[in-house]
Amino acid sequence: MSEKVTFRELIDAIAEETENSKQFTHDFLKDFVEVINNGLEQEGNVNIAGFGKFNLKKVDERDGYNPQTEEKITIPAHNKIVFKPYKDLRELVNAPYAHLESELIEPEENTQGDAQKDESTPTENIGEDDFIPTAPPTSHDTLDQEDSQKGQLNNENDEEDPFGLGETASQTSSSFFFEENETTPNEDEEDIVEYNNHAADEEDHDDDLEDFFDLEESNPEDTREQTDQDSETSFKEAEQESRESTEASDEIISEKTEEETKISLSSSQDTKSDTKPSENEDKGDREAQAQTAEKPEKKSLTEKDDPSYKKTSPFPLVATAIVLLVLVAGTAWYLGFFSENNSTSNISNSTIAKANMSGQKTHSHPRDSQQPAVRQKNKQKKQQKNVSGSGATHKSPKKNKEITIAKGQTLWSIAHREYDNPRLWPWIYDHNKTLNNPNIIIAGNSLLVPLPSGPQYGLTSNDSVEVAKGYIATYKWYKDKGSERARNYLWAAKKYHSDIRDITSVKIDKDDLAFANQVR
Amino acid sequence: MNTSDLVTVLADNWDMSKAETRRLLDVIVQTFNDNIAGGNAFTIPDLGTFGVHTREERTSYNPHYNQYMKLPPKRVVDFTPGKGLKEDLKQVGIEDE
Repeated sequence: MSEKVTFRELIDAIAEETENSKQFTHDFLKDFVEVINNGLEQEGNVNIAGFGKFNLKKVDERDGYNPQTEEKITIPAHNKIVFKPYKDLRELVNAPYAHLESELIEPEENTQGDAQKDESTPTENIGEDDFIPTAPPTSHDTLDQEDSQKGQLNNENDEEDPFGLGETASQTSSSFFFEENETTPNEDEEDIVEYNNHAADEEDHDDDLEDFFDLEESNPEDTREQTDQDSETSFKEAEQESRESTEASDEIISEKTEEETKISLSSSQDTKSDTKPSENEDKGDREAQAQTAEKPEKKSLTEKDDPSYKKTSPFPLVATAIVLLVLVAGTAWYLGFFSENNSTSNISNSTIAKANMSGQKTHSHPRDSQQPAVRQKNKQKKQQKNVSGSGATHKSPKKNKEITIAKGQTLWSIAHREYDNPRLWPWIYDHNKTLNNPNIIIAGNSLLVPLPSGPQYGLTSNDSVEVAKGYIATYKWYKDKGSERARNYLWAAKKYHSDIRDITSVKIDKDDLAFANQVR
Repeated sequence: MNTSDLVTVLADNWDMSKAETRRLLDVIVQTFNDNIAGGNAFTIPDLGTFGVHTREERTSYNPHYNQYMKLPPKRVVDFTPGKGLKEDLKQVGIEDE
């Protein structure tokens, strides 16, 4: 915004324009204000052409409080003055943005899928296209990570328990385990992940680490591991410190003393990085640790800090990732058995197997057992159902029946026989393009009768769409004949699928559409 | 109260013809408009402060059609009433007790 213009400047401008004296314009303006005041008092509104209008609005009594004394007070009912500029002023003011228009943001597939869902009959109508799993593509990759995280998380739990020290336990036990289990592949990895990010051991487990932390933390680790010399020295120091810290842990020392020893030991290290992880250790929550795990982790990694300091390491992070992946996979399975999910379950199965190999814990096992069973179920259901989401894009094998029309049969009677619902006759009508007049079918001709592909002979959304299309075709035929009954068919079409304009290119009369909408 | 009423009162107060007061009023309003549109805020004693500010771009949502729309930024007029006006009109028409 530009500078503020003073009253005096305004008066000067006006006086110049009207060639009156400044005193006069000043007085005039004051009077002008006074008149507005009176007008508002008497009539509650003042409208000034080309400018705007001033209105008085009532404000109800409400509770408030005195910020100075902190006591509650009641703000009494009163009036407030509002000013609404008129069009001229509005447009003048918005001139810089006048060329801009509102844009409609295209709805995403999710919302379209929702609309279709509404239309479906009670069959399982979670179309394949409807469900847009946001996680699965990434879940394959992160499933590993999740598993490893989960496993590590469990490990951490286990570690805590034997010592019964809570937080301190993890810290102390971490170094403890590090020393003991250097050679054990499983725990080693976890330790490395959690406690020993920068030591030389990391180099040994480079590949595994990369697998686990590919998505999230690969870069810092990679860069860290590149500097061999530093890592070696830090490794030695780490060993030293871990030993000393484990000795201390035997006595169940407090966190602070631990820090002191560590800090005293690692004098060469950056004090900043030291205190930061130790500060984090001070926090009660593991979550806090998890959150800050990345920060001290990264920091220490770059500075090649003592591994035992990094108690707050990827463990919780990996754990949460695992939990997330499990949730996503679970919802994927429960939601439905699509080809996409089948393939994802395949991939996730393999990733779980991978995680298993790397020595993660029990969590993968129940999932393994679930998955094959679920997948079998998937296949069965798929064969039964021929599910397809938005029928337009997905063509699943649909069954059609060919029958010969017997004498005396009508579309209505055929539909009644095939579907137990004679009102679905437009479906047959739609499938047989040779039919013109829906009222007339010739005995002896053959008809292609579509069969419902939903479970238990229910209609899928796709089928509903086709029924609606059939009704619309009927509508068109009647309309072409100029019959008034046409719109009834449009109404019926809407019953089967609300957004009829989307599914057909038939020109729909506005009035008829209004009727169809209204009567619903 | 309309512009014409305003003009009548003012003309009466200042012993001017209506045409003249209308012209004067026009100039006043024009000055106001120019300043506001130019981004200059100004205060009229006892009336209030007129200013401008820009509303940022935002996404609006129409629940009936489940549509999102992107609304462009907009420059709008601010008005804060002055003390004199506020005090005078605070209790107008409010029945106490």
